[in-house]
Amino acid sequence: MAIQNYDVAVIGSGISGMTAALLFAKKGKKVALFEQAPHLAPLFSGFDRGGVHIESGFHYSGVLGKDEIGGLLFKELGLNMPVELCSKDGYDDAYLLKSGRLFKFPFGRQLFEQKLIEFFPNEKDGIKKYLDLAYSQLEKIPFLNFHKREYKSEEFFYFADDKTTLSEVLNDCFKDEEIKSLLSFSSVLYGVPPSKVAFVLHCCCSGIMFETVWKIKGGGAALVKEFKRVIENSGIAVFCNKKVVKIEVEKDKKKLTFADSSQILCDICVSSIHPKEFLKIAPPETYRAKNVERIQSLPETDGFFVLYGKVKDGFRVDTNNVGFLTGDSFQKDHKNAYYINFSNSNPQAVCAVMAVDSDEKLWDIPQNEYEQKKKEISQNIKDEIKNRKPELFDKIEFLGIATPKTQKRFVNYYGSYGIMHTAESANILPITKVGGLFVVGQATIAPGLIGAMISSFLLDKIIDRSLENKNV
Amino acid sequence: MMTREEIIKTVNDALMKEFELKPESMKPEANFFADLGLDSLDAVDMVVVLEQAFKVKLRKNYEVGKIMTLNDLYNYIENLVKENV
Repeated sequence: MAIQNYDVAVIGSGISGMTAALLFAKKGKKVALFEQAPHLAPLFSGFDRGGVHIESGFHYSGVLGKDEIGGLLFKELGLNMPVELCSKDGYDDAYLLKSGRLFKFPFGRQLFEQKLIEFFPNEKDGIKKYLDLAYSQLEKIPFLNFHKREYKSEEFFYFADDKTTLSEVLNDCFKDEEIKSLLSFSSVLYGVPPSKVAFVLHCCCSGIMFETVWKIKGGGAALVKEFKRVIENSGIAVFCNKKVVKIEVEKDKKKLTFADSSQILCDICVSSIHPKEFLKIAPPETYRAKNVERIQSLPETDGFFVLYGKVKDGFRVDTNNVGFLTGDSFQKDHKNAYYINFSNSNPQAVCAVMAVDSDEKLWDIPQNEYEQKKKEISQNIKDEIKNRKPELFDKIEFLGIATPKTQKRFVNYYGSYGIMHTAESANILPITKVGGLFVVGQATIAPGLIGAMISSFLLDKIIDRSLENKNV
Repeated sequence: MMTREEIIKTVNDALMKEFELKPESMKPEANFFADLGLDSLDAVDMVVVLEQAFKVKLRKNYEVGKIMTLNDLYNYIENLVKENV
């Protein structure tokens, strides 16, 4: 049988992979999407245990409204996403343990500013300064400008390169350690500590929740279901349990070899997998040696150690995350920060999450050591919650544990958000030295749902531009 | 403060090491793309190594896109180093 030929092969079916496949299909290309796991988007799909659905990849996001960037990208892809606003007065709870207070994060600048001033009256000037700085960053980034309602192609080529860190900005605006901890806590949700993250990236990931915060009805699984529906209607050939082990360049074509020894040819190959995994299968001419060295040296985001379960006795918690902040959380860069996530499913699922070092050496260990480690960390998390909030602890029935090693098994990397974007490192570029071999995903633009989608839109615009140049 | 000669030496050393360029190709009028064979992918690495070599932030400044030759780069860095003093 002749070897199968595609215009475009996309490797990896996470958000960026599915987005890239859809954008090429829209161009009329014959597209194939390859996933090593048994089903599409394993991280976002979550899993079922003990009659509850546990979210492993998505909880909420800013800017998903129909006239905000996330909503506009969904529309461009033909996705009809069932979004709903979170509670305006408190989408997340943070217990400030030093002063014994509960801060409920509201969205909308006015509400947020008022609430911060109410909690930290001595920091009034700093609060205004901080929010002005954050808003001026957001205004500059075309996608996140709250007043923008449509996007030009060239805006996808905007790169923000200010290297001032979040810690520097917070130290400059505030004296009180508690407000610094509070305003930097969301760094745990994109995996870069405050002392390492560029302030502009913090604004991209957390600042987008200043105006609106959205959930998807049915969670990550519903999001994936909607992607699948559109993918099925677009004629994209989908292959699961299909792990790519080698990409070779043959004249103008790329040849992909799979773990089962089968092969295909394509004109364009897009990798949406972890950049370090891509290096293992990429042809040697993809990068210069120094470039490979730079990618290899990029740090990995923290991993998540998760105790998952469900809420007992019809008890319900109407917030997304409940975080616990001590007086020195900011000083300690939120190391081993933990929070409890509540889903909006019924019965309500609970995940007690601790950020842990995701280094392979710490998790790829003998089974008995691994079991011991699991036991110790879970006990540690349970003790913490029991001590801090015994009334909440009593309402949780724990069902199981997921570690960075568990995540590795499903999505092939340990860190929660893949490669860490630090103020000092440069992003992975979408292009490589091989024409027609491209890279998309969280590492090229920014972590999270929106970052992953924009990375594929950027590639789409790069392809448009190179086609335009050829026509000239 | 660094003299222009020191700047030229630091730039050349850093680029020769990063991109395995030969000393004889490092002429001031050499164009990065046409003469030195670098591409836009290399430009990112160039910025990274120069930031390390000079301890200055290059990426903040969008003028960086106008640099076409080694001489443009020497001038650009000379100005940056002056501003930072």
